[in-house]
Amino acid sequence: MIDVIDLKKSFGKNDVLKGINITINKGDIVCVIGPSGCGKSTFLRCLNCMEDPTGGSIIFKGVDIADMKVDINAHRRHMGMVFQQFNLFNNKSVIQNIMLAPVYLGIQDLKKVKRHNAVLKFTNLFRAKNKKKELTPITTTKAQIRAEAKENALKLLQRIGLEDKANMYPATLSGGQKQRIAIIRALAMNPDVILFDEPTSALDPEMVGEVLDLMKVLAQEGMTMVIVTHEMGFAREVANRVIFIDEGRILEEAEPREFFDNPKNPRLKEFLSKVL
Amino acid sequence: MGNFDKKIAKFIEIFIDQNGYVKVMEGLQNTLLIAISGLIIGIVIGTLIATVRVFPKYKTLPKVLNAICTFYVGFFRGTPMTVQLLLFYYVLLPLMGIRITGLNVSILVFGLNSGAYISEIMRSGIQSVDIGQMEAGRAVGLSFPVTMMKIVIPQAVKNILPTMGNEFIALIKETSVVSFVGAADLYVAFNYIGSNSYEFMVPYLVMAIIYIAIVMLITLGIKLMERGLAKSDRRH
Repeated sequence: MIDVIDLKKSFGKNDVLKGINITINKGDIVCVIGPSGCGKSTFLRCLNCMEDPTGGSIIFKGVDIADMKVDINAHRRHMGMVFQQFNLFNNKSVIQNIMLAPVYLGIQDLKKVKRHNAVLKFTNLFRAKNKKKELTPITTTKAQIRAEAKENALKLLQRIGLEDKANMYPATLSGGQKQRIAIIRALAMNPDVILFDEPTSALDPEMVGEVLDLMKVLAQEGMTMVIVTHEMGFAREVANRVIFIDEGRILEEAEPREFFDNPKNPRLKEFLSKVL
Repeated sequence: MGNFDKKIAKFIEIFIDQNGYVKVMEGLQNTLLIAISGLIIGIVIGTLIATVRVFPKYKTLPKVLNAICTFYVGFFRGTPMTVQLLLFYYVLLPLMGIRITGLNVSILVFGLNSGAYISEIMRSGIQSVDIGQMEAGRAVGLSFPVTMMKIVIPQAVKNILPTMGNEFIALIKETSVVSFVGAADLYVAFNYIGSNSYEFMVPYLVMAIIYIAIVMLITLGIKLMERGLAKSDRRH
C-alpha cells in the first residue's frame, strides 16, 4: 500500500534520512525502533508529508505523494496520525474533535459535487439531446453528514468507554484519555493506515497500558499501522515486522522474534543490549 | 470658584438650549462608528496578513504576498495616522478620482492602519499556539487555511484579547484627529460648544470624561468576553 523508495530528508546541511526503502502492505503492523535522533520520527512524518521529503518518493495507493504538485490534503484523509503530545484541538470539545474533519470534509465534498452538477446543467443546455452529460446523483444532505458523523463519533467513544466525556474539553482529561481520543479521532476518518509517533512516550507509566491495549485491538482488527515506539515488549507482541533505523538508514528489518532474539546488525545488538 | 459655576451654567445652556447635545451625540456616534468599523476592517485585514506571514514559504506566491504584506505593515506603522488621513484625503483618493466624505476616508484609514497593527498582534497570537495544533489539523486532511480558521485562530484570539482591547482603546482615542479631514467627531462637537460660548474649560473637561467612560465600558466588555472564552481552559 505504501512504497517508500530512496526517501531522503535533510534539514539544511544535516542529512537525517539517507535513502530509506520499505514497502508497507495492507494489514502490516510495522514497528520502527532506533536510538533518539536517528531519524525514526522524521521518517514517520515524511510518510504523510508532514515533513516534505527532499528526495525519493512515497507511493501511496499508486500516487507519489512526495511530489509537491499532489493535493496532499486529499491523501492525508486516508492516513491517520497520532502524535506524542496528543494534539487534541484545545478549543473544541471531545466530540467536536472527532467530528470536525469528517463533517467539514464531507460537506466540502458535497458542495463540490453540487458545483460540478450546476456546471454540467448549464453546459447541458448547449449540448444536443443525445449528448447530454449525466449529473452525479446526490445521496446525502448536510444534516445527514452531521448526524452520521455524530453517531459514528459516539460509537467510537463508547468503544473506549469515554462517552460521558463527549462534551468536555481536552484540558480536563488525563493523558491516557487524550491519547485514546486522538486515536479514535484518526479512526473517524476511516483511514487506510495510521501512523503513530511515539504514542506512549508522553504518558504516565500507568496510562501506557490503556493506550497500548487500544492499539492492540486495532491491530487484531487488521488496521495497517506504522508505529515509532520505545515499547519493545509491545513491538515484540504486536508487530509483524520490526525495523531498526540508525543514522538515517534501515539497518535491520525482520519479524519480531528474529529481530529481538537473533539480531544480526552489530549496531542493533548494541542497542538492544542497552534497552532490554 | 464662583467663576466656575458660571462656566458650567453657560455650558449647560449651550448644551441643552442651543442643541449642543445634538452635536455631541453626532460626534459620539461618529467616533464610535470610526473606531468600531476601523477595528472590524482591521481585524479582517490583520488576520489575513498574519496568516500570509506565517504561511510556509516554499513557493513563489506566498513569498510575493509576504513581501507585499511586509511593505504594507511597514508603511502604516511608519507614518502617523494624521499623515495617512491627509495623504488619503488630499492625495491618493483624488488621484484615483474617488470622492468620498471625510467620515468614510476616516473609516478606511483607521481600518487600514489598525490592520497593520492587528496583523502583528495576531501573528504573535498565532505563534503562541502550539505547532502541534496545526499539525493535527493537517494530519486529518484539513488544508492550511481551514486549520488556521477553525483551530489556530480561535485559540490565538483568546491569547491576544487583552492586547486587542488596547488596540481598540487606542483607536477610540485616535479618532480625535479625524477633524483634519472634516469628519465630525467628539472633539469637533465640543470644540463647537466651546467656540460658541468662548469658554473651553468645561466642554473639554466633559469631553475627557466621556472618553474615559467609553474606555471603561470597553474594558468591562473585554473582561466579560475573556471570561466567556475561558470555558475550554480548566474544568468548570
